[in-house]
Amino acid sequence: MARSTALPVTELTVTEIARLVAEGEVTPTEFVEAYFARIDEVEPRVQAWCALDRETVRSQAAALTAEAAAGTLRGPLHGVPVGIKDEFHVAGMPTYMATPDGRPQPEDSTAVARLRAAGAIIMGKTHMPIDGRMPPTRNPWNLEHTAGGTSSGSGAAVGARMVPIALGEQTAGSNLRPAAFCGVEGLKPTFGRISKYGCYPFTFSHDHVGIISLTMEDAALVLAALAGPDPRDLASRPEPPPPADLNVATIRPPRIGVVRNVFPERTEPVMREAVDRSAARMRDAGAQVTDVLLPADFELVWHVHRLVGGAERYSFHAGRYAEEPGAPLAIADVAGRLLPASYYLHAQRVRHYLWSTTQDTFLELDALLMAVAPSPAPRGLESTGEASLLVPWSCLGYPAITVNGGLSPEGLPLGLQLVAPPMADYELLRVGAWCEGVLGRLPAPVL
Amino acid sequence: MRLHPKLTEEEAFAWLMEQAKQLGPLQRPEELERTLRPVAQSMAAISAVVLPPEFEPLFP
Repeated sequence: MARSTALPVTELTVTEIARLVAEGEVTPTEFVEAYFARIDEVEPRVQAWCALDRETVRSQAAALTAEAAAGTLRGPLHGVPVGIKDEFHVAGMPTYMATPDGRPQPEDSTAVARLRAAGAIIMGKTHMPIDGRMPPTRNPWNLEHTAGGTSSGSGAAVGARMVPIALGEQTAGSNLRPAAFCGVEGLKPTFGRISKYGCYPFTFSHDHVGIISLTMEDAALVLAALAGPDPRDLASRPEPPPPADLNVATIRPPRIGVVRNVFPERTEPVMREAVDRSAARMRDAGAQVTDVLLPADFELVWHVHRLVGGAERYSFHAGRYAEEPGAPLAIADVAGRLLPASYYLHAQRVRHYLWSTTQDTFLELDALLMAVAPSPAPRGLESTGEASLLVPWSCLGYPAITVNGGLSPEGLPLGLQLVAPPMADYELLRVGAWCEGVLGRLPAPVL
Repeated sequence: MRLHPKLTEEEAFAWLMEQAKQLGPLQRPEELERTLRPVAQSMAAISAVVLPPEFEPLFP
């Protein structure tokens, strides 16, 4: 136990934890106890977790410890503790989003099953807003501010170093925003890159399984374990997973396009300055940095997202009304119920047009640069902040990451967003790793 | 409701409000106009776009 409490869990990355376990330096049980100690220390203030089952976690860790001692590693994440957003089914644990009564789920979502197969330890479920009710989760950088959402607990849990990595999900801006607000990094992959089977839906074609991590190397390691086709998710991509190793030593300075229309006018000065300051540092470090204008009709993407999302949301959630005929219709379901099919389909056609034409923007670029959110994490817990700068990439399915853009004058993280063309997830993570080397990472917040 | 020629926001909003009256009880009826106004804006924006046939609906 003494060794567990001495482990520097506020500094360790997934890559380092996996290496220490593989080399027999530290056992999974020691890591679990170290993270439990961290949870005991900060969770009463941060409130990231909605379900923690320490007995089950210790049982998983003991089994993995025994296997490692016998020279068997299940996979590249052997002994790595992971947090899971409530939205994902975990066998034996509740999914409050799906069943508020807290009944345990019978099986794992595909993402959780693949984490287990890679040797990860499922630490517990993290808070998210449910039916418009905000979670109690607080931002570890300032407890008076939101942690973002809807992956609120996952962002805060990694931000406060209660786990080194967590699963999130993004339908509008729900994975990268909490990552950025909580001062860590994140990946929203190409749509379908990670199976969403067993991830309780907000919509069908906007939901992305995402990763909230401390580094791009960690995100790549976990993406490699999670990606790949899944016969239980018809929208999952057929391509095999990308490599787990970013091969950082071979990364050359990237070609970055700073988006100068559509996004800046939706962004507060403090964020615009963070983008410009960071772009200048990238240029000084050798990146080719140019200004970019998105197509004039790009703004249609917000309209497409609203109509498609509303219709799909109602299509899924209408089943609730079958159980209670005559029940009042939720106001959020009205638009989806009324929208004519011709409008839903035409919105999908416009989506196709935007998906196609926006790729031309990348002909001479590796990534687009913009802010993650219009502002740093807002004060208060009644909102999780604004998703507008993330919506386009959730709608079009392009991969996006967040990296460090510094701190605001009030000491809140300023997240940058980098975006690449579809299926360039691996290349984007390499760009992110290069940016991480130039811009640095934020330290653990003082709690 | 027609798709083309393009719909105005007010046409879309009036149609949505009229249709909403047929839905029966709502959980927070006082929020209906605030909920449907942006939907009407989006319907108007989308209906103004006429695309060549190669752009079929995308389910990414």
